[in-house]
Amino acid sequence: MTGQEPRTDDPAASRDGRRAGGVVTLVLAAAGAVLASRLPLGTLTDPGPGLWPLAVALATALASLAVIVTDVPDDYEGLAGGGRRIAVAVAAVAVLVVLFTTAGFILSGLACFVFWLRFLGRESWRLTAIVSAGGVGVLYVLFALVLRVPLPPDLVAGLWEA
Amino acid sequence: MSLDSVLLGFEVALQPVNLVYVFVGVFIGTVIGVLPGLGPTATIALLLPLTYTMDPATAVIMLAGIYYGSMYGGTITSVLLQLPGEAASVVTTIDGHQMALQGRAGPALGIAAIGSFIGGTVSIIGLMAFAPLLSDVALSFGPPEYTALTLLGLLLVTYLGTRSTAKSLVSAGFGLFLASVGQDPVSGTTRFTFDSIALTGGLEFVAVVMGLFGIGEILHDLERAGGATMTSTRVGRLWPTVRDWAQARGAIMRGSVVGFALGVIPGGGGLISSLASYAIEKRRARQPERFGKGAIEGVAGPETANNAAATSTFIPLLTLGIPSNVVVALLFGALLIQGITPGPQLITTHPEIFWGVIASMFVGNLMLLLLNIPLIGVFVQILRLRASVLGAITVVVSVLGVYSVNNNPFDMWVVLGSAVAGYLMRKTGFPPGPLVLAFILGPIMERSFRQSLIMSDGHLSIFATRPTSAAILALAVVLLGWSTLKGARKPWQRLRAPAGG
Repeated sequence: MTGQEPRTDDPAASRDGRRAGGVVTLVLAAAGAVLASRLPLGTLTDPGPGLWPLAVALATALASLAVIVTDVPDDYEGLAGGGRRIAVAVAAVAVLVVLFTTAGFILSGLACFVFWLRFLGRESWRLTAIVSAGGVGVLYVLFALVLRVPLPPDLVAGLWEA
Repeated sequence: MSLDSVLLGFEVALQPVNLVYVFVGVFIGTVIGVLPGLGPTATIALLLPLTYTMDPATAVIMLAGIYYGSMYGGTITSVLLQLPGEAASVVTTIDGHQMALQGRAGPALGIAAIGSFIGGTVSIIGLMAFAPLLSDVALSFGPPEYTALTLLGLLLVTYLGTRSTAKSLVSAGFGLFLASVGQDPVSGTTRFTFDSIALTGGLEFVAVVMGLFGIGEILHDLERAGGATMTSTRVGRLWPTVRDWAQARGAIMRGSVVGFALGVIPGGGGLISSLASYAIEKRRARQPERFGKGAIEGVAGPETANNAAATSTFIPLLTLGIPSNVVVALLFGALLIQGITPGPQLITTHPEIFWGVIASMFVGNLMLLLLNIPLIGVFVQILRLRASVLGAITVVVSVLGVYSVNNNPFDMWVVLGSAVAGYLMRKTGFPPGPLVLAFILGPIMERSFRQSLIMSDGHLSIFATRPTSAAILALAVVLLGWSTLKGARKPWQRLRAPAGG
């Protein structure tokens, strides 16, 4: 499972990142508390919908303060030059989601497989083609035909049927 | 426990469809246990959408098989490559890999498989004996007890499983907060939906988990270059010698008990029980210096314990309706999706699920023993699967799978948002596990907390005046106080340490 991996020892990154985590979570928890306080809080006898989230947000803010005080630099990993790759990968998933809803699964799935394997993974065109075609084929059969999931209208399947 | 109940369990587990799915589960579990990077949590999350069309007992039988199957798989790479496929096998790398370097990989894997089978079986017997008793006790629990119990469960998870208790608490806090998005269960008022209809039903659990664990893990792995170096794939004779067996016998027995006991505790499970077993064996050994140099007890004890724990973690789920770790939380989610709420009533309302899942674990463990010994060589070859292929499959399956849950495109954006959050959490040392567990426990906790307040006319003292909830809360307070003190001492100790120390 996660959370148990040894942390990379990157002193520069550690200095930059140190305490940033606690500050960010404190800001988020404070924002959550403000949002919760705008809901009816009710009373202890008759708790309103805002009471529980407000209590949770305040407890989270308190724990964030504890993080700021007790945090250690070696709890942070450096980016190790991978920041741009991550941003590109996230953008690729976003494009997949947009394409999935507009052009259907086959085209979006193929595009994602090809991009991930060829450009992010630097695999050969041969492996890219085999895995992409095989992966999309198996998943389409499983979800659309076996499980009968109503997928968004598919451009490629439409052309095939036409 | 009556004989009829046990027979009912085996009747369910031995149905052909369930035999097929328990095999599928343990096989997939072994494969992902071998593969570093994709753990049982991510795999179960990815496969959740496939279980919607299944019978509830079959769905849980398959998903549980993945969980305990991954414990077996993790052993193979730990011994042969010094590479734990999942966290609970970390300890096995110490002596298991030393045995492999001495040409004794076979007996290491053999004793691990036998120990795992014995540990799993002992734990199943324990589950059969204790779970119905605990169910009976839990039937008398009211909202204050459930509030206290869920709180204790969350605190134990944050305390036992991770490096920083404060960070785990923050993580759990966000899980509870995110669980409150959507319609308020009591008044029906919408909360934090920003007038979006898509958010009225709350955040989709599968989307959050797939993002945090599936794509989040893949993004994190994108940065890590290189793979395992195959130091030894020669397995040789698997069956341990008489001397091996004599040395490992006690460790297996103790590992079974330790694993069972630690698996029941919320937050316990594979990793903690294997660490505890290793420590016990080393302390008991006549020649502790053998440990770290290929002592077979150092493999047999922890491997037995982690499998026993994987089985006994089902006790709190099946009897109290409280998942004690993230993987079991996913099984809880799988049952909820099927319209079944796990809890003390499960044993009477759905005995086929309760006893069927337990009996299937015995069948699954037997399958694993039979699968592992002849197929170890085949499983090692799985390591040749490239990270990029695994990444591409995970991303596409996550997006497609989450869409299939509600046919709602918004859920795919939740996956992406959770993935980015999961990646950033891993980079900054916030464990995503407590967030998921809190997300699942959130509605139970809120409902029971509010019901308790209504019951007591707004008096918080209700939690202290009822003996069971008072005892549970006292334990939670002691735990929180202890971990706070421990956390606060760390910076002072560093300041007082000599420079460069």
